[in-house]
Amino acid sequence: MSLDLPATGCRTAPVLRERGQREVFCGLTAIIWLHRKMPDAFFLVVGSRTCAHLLQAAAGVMIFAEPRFGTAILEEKDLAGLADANQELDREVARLLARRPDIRRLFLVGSCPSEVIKLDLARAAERLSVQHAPRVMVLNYSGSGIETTFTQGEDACLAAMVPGLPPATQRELLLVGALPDVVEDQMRALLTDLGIGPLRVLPAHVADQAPGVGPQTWFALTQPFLGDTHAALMRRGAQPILAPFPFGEEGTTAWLRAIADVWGVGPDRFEAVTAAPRARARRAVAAQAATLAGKRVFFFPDSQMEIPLARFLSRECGMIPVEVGTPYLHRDLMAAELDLLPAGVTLSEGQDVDLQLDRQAAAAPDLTVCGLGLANPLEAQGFTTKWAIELVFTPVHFYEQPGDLAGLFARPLRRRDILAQGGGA
Amino acid sequence: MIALDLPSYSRKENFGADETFHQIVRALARPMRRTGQVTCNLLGATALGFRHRDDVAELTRLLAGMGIAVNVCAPLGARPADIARMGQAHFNVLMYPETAETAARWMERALGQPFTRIVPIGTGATRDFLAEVSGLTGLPVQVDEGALRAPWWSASVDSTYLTGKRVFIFGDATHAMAAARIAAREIGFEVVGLGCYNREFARPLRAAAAQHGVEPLITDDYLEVEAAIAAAQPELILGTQMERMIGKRLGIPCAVISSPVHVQDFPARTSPQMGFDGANVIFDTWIHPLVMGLEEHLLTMFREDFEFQDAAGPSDHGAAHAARRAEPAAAVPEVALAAAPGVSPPDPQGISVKRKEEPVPAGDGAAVEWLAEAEQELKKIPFFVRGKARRNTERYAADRGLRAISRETLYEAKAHYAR
Ligand code: SF4
Repeated sequence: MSLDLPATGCRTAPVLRERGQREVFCGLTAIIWLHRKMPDAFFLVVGSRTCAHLLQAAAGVMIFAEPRFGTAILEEKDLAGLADANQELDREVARLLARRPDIRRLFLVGSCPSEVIKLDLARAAERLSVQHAPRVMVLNYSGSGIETTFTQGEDACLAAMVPGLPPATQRELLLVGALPDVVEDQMRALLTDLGIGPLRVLPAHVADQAPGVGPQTWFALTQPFLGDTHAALMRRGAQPILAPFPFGEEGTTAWLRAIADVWGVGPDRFEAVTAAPRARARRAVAAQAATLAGKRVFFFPDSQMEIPLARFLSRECGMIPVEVGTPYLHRDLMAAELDLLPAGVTLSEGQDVDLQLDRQAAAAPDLTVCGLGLANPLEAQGFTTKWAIELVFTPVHFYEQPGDLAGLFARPLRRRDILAQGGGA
Repeated sequence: MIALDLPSYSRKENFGADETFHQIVRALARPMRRTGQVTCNLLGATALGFRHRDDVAELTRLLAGMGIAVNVCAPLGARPADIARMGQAHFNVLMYPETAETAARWMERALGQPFTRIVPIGTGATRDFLAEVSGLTGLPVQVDEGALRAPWWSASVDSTYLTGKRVFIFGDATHAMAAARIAAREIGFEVVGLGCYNREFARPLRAAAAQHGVEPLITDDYLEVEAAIAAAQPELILGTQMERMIGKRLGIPCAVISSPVHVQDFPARTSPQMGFDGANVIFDTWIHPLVMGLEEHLLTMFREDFEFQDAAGPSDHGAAHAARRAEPAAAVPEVALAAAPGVSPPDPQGISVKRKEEPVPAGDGAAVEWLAEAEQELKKIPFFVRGKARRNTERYAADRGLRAISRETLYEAKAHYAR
């Protein structure tokens, strides 16, 4: 046991690693937001009827004139022998692209069944890319439940795009992660006001705006779950800007400050640009913090956003994190976040759901953050839960949203109080 | 022959119905020996009332669970001979005070029948009602809540997004007050307006409005109602067919809770408002017009997607938007590789309808100007909360004597009104 541990922070805290049954969505789920962010892309899941049903159920609420994703269903016959499946895939892709001239990027998305039968989608993508160049770029990544959880689907998708990005010709800031449009605009405005640029974004809205990447590229992740993309960009020689993630006033300020330091922005200008929105963010959070302060929160692993969110809740809303679980703990990306987490928090990585449920029950937290599969059963037991997926779908980054972010956690607590007074319960 | 003296120019339909029923009962009903079994009369249901037919069936079932039979249901379906034997019942259930309160009071005095004061609309009110019946009859509350799903539906995380949704409630006083209780306590909405068109019930409605912290609106002028709704910018209206039309004009979804009704408010299936089944029906009916949680987020997330222009409204109904969606199956075309039917999503159905951007009445008539950048930013906010954002920002600007609204003002106001 070493004696020179810092008094606060969790950077070197031990981590409970668990490998058991998991209650998390697979990476296919990320298609729900990715296909909105890239209107000229099509996501073709090569999978089973289960995969098709997942997409239908999760994304079925959004119906559009022309779909941007679909499932190529592997039938018994394909599962038996492989020669067929590749041919069928080629034919279906050709038909799809002939019908849909608007598609410029086609993602072949691997699933559990395609992996089990070892269908080589990387080779299929290469083959199809040659066939359909230059109009359509065909890429592949895995969204399978064997390899990925939930937000890792976005990571896998972005990482798959990195090798094909053109070389960068100048010093640029590359912002990585699929953000809601309104948030992306706010981010651009803040950075532009700070005099930082040129700004490029991955994923680009349309194929023609694909950013360049090279040794002159500095990149900053906007989402904490982009570890593979981070590694892929490093392989292209790009330089990372590591900082806490832009959640909450504190996280946003630290994130901006780290970029501003690289760009040599002076403290006066930084203050001038950020003072007003910082004050706003603090005011908006204060309105929610009254509900949250002093309450104990327990995170089940879900999106890899758990550590930054726990940091926000503890430092800006006065909550007490009990256990913070994450599907995967990326030490480098999380270092700055872990420094800000209060000592004494249990950090866990991966999941053995039964053991974790026992710990949750023993801890009896005021608020449990977890996926939908656990949320309703826990609610039925009398626990107040926050449905974690909403945190991925709601605009929560940067200065104008911390009030909303805190509100997402305060809402279930308020709701329980309201219903307890009613004829409910 | 019963002589009626109704001042038809000065009083409204409900008063006429109430007085007519009172006169009929007065003329025909007499004190009688009580039935052996505990029985009650159901008072106030009418043929054109909102879901009265089904309410009668639901209450009959609930009361039977406690061993109480219905002696007479009136006026709905009652013949003169039935009215004549109303005196046999042990007590009266006043279902709809609007049409039967005077009769109930007369029967209490003349026939010695106590009557229930609680209208069993909503889970809490139904439980209170059963307790009240138990108090009147001395029978224990015996009820099977097995089919009551609304409380859990409301408590489950799938409903968290309903918290604080702003609703404007208007109808007859009984339904409006019941709706306010359900909205605030059982579904977790925020009541931003409460009113009724029947002045006879102004007093209880005022008290209910005070409880919910809103100004009561008692009027039968629909233009006044429309102005109040436009000013409140609710996310949902609970009203009559009149408010449904107002909602259509303003682009705000509406669920009907009260007469006056339309032929569509007489569904073929059983759809009561009262009792536990009524609580289930109400939950479903009110939630349906809203933008679902996940859909709401995706709409927010990608405002600038070309398919998300303002013509694209919320889910299936609600207000001013047409079919922008293909059938659900179109979203996920399944391509069977082996059977190879191919990728063949149906053709688009993208009929678009321009959505009216409602001008919000400025606070005190003082014109505040929206700068182009702020107007642009406002457009990024989903339409179903945009009205509220616009109004809040204008109020914020007006309170501070600002003449122009910038992007900064918009976000200052957002932080100010954060809750
Ligand atoms: S990829 Fe695997 S986990 Fe995901 S839906 Fe398909 S079969 Fe299920």
